[in-house]
Amino acid sequence: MEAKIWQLCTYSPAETFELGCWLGKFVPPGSCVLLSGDLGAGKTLFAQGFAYGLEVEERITSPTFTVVNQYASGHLPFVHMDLYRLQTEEEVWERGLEEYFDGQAVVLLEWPEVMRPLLPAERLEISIVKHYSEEPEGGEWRSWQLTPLGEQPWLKEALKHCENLSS
Amino acid sequence: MIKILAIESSCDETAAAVVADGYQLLANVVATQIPVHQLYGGVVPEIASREHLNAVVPVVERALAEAGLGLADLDAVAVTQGPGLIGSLLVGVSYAKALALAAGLPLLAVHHLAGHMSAPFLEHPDLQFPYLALVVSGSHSGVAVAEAPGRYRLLGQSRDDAAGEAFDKIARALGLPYPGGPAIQQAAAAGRPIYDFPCAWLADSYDFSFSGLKSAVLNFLNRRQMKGEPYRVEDVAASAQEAIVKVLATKAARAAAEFGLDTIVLAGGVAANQALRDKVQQLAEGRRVVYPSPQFCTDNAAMIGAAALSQYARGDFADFSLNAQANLPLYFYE
Repeated sequence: MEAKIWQLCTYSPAETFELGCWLGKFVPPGSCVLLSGDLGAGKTLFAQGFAYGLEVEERITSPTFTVVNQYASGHLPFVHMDLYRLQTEEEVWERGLEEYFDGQAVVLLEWPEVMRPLLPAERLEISIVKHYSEEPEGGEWRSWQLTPLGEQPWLKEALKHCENLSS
Repeated sequence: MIKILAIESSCDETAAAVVADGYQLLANVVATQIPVHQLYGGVVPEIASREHLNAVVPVVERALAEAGLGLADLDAVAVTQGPGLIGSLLVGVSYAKALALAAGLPLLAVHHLAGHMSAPFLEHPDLQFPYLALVVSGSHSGVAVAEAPGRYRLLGQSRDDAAGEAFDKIARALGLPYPGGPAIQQAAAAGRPIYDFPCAWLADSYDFSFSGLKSAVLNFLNRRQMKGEPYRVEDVAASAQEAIVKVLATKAARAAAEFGLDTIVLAGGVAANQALRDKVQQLAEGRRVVYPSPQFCTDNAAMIGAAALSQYARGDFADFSLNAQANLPLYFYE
């Protein structure tokens, strides 16, 4: 069966947060979610919404320097990972990062490229592209592409709540 | 004379130091971490940060050798308990526990940020509590009242990106090298802050937010490029630096005034930024402004030893059930 690729657009920070929130609400234990997009694409805001959906109580801050932030207060353990600073697979291995995929924790992974060979086969890949409106001081909007690898029925359930965002 | 061996492994650096009474530094070693080539057979029992695992023994041995001391000459072993990367912290904590147990020494568990806020004592032992601390690094931006040794009250912190991270990411967007702090500072010196990038003031709060500034700079660059309008990297760097430094310095000065504190301490890697030092001095209304040398601004074990000295004096020891804590909080930390 060919994986369905989902396309959505968000036109405000609130919509980006909302998309993250619905995915966080429905994501099952042990999931791996990849988040790709340039600096300023909205990854941190999406992550904050995602954590809100997981009912994480702590503040979600950028894991760029720490590489991994862990949160235990939600309805599932939440691991927020960011490989922005890492250059090689060896640096990933040196930090033991593959051990965070323990079948229970939900792992949200930003800048995942350097870790690709070590990733679980079943995962959700999300890519964000930021667009600028034509007019000189016009606004900006984001297009989202969600690609589930393997069986991920939860995604359809979550996205039912995001129909206002579908393009 | 009390002599403490301190170990720090919360993030990238494996470091060890020996600090004595009066904040005298007997040894200070930071490992520039070497790639690990040797594979482990079988299962690694816990999430382990393998590069720290490789470095911790030689780093501690070198620190003791530089200090000219053996384990028997020490009075305590101190270690960073958190916050940080759990696997990295565990290496330092496990090793410190083993050393303390083997040598029959008391164990001291130190908060990483308490370490940063104690770093100025290494060069300014006359520093007096209470003081206002602005801790700014790649992973932290916070304002805290250091009320007494071991007692810190966090007033605010970053809601998204840390200040050092904002420097790094804006530097990358401008095509400047890593680390971004020094690169932006250098470029800014040849520019003027002519662009008005937004500061997130988050009124009535000592929290910070730098994600919006990062986006504003990226949007500015994108729009200029789309329209083919030129800009000077130096001016963008100067403007971004101004926006970051203005918020940090203003909140630090405001907190010092609100809580009636005579001294402002700058700590963490971004404390090495000259524009920040100048701005804090300018807004400090005659208060004393203290900051460490660059080697004590970035992560190091000497600062852990400095914080540990006061814990030792208070008898604030950890037992051997001590565990690393990735999200160790800092508030009325006693």
